[in-house]
Amino acid sequence: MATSGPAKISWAKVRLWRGVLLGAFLLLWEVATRRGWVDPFFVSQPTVLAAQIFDWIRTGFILRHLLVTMQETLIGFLLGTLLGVAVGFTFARWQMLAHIFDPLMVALNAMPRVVLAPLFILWFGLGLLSKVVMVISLVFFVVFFSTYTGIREVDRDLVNNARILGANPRHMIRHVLLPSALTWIFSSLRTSVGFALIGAVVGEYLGSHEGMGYVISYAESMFNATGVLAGLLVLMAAVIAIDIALKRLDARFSYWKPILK
Amino acid sequence: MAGPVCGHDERPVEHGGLVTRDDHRGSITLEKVTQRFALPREGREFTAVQDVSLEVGSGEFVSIVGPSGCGKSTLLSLIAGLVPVTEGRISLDGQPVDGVNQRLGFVFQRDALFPWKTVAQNVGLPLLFRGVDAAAARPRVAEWIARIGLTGFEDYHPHQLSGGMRKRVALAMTMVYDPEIVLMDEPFGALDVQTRNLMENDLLEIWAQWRRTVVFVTHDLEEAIALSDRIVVMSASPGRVKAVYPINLPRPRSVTEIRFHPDFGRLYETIWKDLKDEVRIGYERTRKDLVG
Repeated sequence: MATSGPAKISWAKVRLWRGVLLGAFLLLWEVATRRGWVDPFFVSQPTVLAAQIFDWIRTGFILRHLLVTMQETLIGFLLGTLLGVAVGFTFARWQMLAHIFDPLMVALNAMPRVVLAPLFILWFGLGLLSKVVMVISLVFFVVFFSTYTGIREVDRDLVNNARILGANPRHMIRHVLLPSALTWIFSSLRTSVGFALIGAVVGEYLGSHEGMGYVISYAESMFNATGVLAGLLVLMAAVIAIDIALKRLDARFSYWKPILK
Repeated sequence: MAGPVCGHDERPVEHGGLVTRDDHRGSITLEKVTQRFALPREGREFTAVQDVSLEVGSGEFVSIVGPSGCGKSTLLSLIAGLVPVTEGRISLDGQPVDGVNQRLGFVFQRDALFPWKTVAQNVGLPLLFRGVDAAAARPRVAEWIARIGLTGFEDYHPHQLSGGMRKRVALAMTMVYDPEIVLMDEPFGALDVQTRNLMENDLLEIWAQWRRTVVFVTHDLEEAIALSDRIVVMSASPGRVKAVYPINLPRPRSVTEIRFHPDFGRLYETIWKDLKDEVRIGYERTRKDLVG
């Protein structure tokens, strides 16, 4: 039978297929390691992984480390965002500053922050501070660039209209520039949260005594593939949870935009 | 060099139904206004407007027509003080324009509504900027929302409204603080013909009651004749005043009916003769730019 137009996607079917593929993958993995096609020493085994994660949760071991990582991520993210918005805003308002610091910003942004992690650990120790600095160094640039563009790209007509309607500089920031930049900041938020988590985990991985990066690094040093993979899975779950929360937050803050989903 | 017709020695016309406001506020004077913009990439200057002299009386409705790119919109930005004048003088009630003047309203071509604010917040914004306290602002905002027929839509955001509704919000936002001069830059250009006619009638009605000075930029000659007391025809770029025509059609007018007035066609023909050449020059120039 002929259908007109693009086929309507059935989400139930999409979900079903996702489930089937995931199930098949896990089954293959399990069978392959049980039959000895692949050595579980290197790739672990789904059932063993599940048991490991369950055990971590039961003992509260993983929660402690997860909380440490989340704390570093959150503090670094908040500070990095604040700093990014503040500097982005300042540079957008005072073009002179932007021109002066442009080469510096580009150079700093181009520098691979991950390689800086050992230095941060050297300077700020094995604890929270070095990770927070690491996170800030990653988040700051994402937020800075989007704030800067957000304010530079604000609709000229809106700015002119506000001027004619009687806005003073403070009004302009509060009612025009900030709301306009906020959409850009929010659109970069999900990227920067991802960066924040990477920063925290890499920092922990390279030198710390707690946190998810430490758990993974420790398992690795014991040649424990199960520990590494279980750690990654827990991190993945955390990232997905945060992403869903951010999507909701974004929807709340961009209520005035036509729905683009 | 002065334009072919210099509005300089012209007095604000007094005719059919026009009652100038007693306080005589809201008059605009342009004296030999020339505006140049630097084109840094091409290393030269572009003259948008040249030697424009014009007087607009208090409470007068003046339209500016001309080919696209003739500097009509530039003139409005200059009067509004958004852009400083290169040469010449612009004054409002004898006061030279120096920066944005808050006695003035501006309706933009694209409705410059604040997308993150509701209809009521948008309309109330100029009052908030002017430091009117919320309690005093509320009834004025409600009154204007009622006038534009959007009662019940107070909490909607602009993206939820149709083009016509957004335009009405933009109009209310301008009128709510009662400016002495309203500048309109092709405000209805993006609307469909029916909505456009309704909006034009609404505008005439508001204007008849409030008697503010209106400078209305359009490329639609019919619209200009239907609305105005006077029409200024601009030449192709650089824009000069080519001619000024008084429109002595009776008021109050309805834009849909005034078209059938015997004088309408005659006026249209006369003005179009002037405008036609300029439109052709403007058109050929843009075509040359595109081809060569």
